[in-house]
Amino acid sequence: MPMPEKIDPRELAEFVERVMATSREDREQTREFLTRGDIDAVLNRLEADIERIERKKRK
Amino acid sequence: MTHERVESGEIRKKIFKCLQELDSLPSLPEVVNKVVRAVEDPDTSADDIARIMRDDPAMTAKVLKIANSTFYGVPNREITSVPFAISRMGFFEIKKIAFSMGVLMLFRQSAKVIDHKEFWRHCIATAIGTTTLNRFVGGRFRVSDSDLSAYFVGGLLHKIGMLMLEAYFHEAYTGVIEICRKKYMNLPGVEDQVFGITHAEVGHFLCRKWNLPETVTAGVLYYASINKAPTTHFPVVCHIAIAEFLARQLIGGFGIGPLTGNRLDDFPSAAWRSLELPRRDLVEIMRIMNEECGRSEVFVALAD
Repeated sequence: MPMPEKIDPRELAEFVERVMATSREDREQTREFLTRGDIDAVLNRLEADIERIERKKRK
Repeated sequence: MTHERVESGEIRKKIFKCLQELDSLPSLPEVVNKVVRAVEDPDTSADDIARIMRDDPAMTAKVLKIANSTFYGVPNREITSVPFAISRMGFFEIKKIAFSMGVLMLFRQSAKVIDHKEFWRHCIATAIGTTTLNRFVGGRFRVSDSDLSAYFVGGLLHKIGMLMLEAYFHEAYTGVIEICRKKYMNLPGVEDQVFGITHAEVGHFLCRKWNLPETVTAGVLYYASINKAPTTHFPVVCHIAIAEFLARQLIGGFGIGPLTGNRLDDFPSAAWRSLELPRRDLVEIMRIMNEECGRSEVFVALAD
């Protein structure tokens, strides 16, 4: 439900209606969850970042 | 490699330890600190502030450029004197401008995952939104010009932690943002699940290092988790939370791609109710914000 590009007062009012009316069920349907794989991939990268920071500090 | 035994609490500690042990954290230019301090001093004159600015010709030039922009400018009259610009715009506007200049120039765009221009456009829109909202709230939530400038700074800095994470944990943060884009997930939620820490906490850490007032630091820390905000700072948190949502709708994102910027299900309705704002005002608030954001490109250009 993207916002109309040009701000026309009537479209804006309709947009606001949609914001206010977005139901809890809608929200839950759009939620996805992280997998273990997602988390591990980021944590591997984090280790590389931390090593880089440590190396820089030692220099 | 799997990290099943690594608790997010441990990751959080590691990240904070790295930040605390960094040789140099980004710091605001001294001239900005001097201007901010001078504005807070009731004995300061426009000439005093102009004298401080004289030490930084680039800042002087930018103040005049902003004073003459459509955001503040007087039609058919060019402002060429800094003291006149200061007395015309007012001390608290000068504080906002000085602060915006200092912050926008701190984190330079390189080949990174966040589009800094779009990021700052969102943050400036949020900052503007806090002041717009304050015109609509009832008397008990109305604040002084001084507090309102703190609301503005809180709005400007609410996502500064993202730039810190991008700058120092670039690889990992790129991964976090990629997940948000791919799975259309909420950024603070992914940060929290993966790192055990959010950009709001990292931003809060930086704002504390800069000795910013609690109104600002609380706004930065709690804008995405208003239910945790202490009662004392609840109004500023609500202002930033609502302005942030509206800015995302107006700008279309905050520098990490359009998909993550246009979610309606994050509307901070509790903040809206807490400020006792009538529903009909939302349309007018968005209209004013849209108009003011359209004229605020001169601020966004400070990031160049």
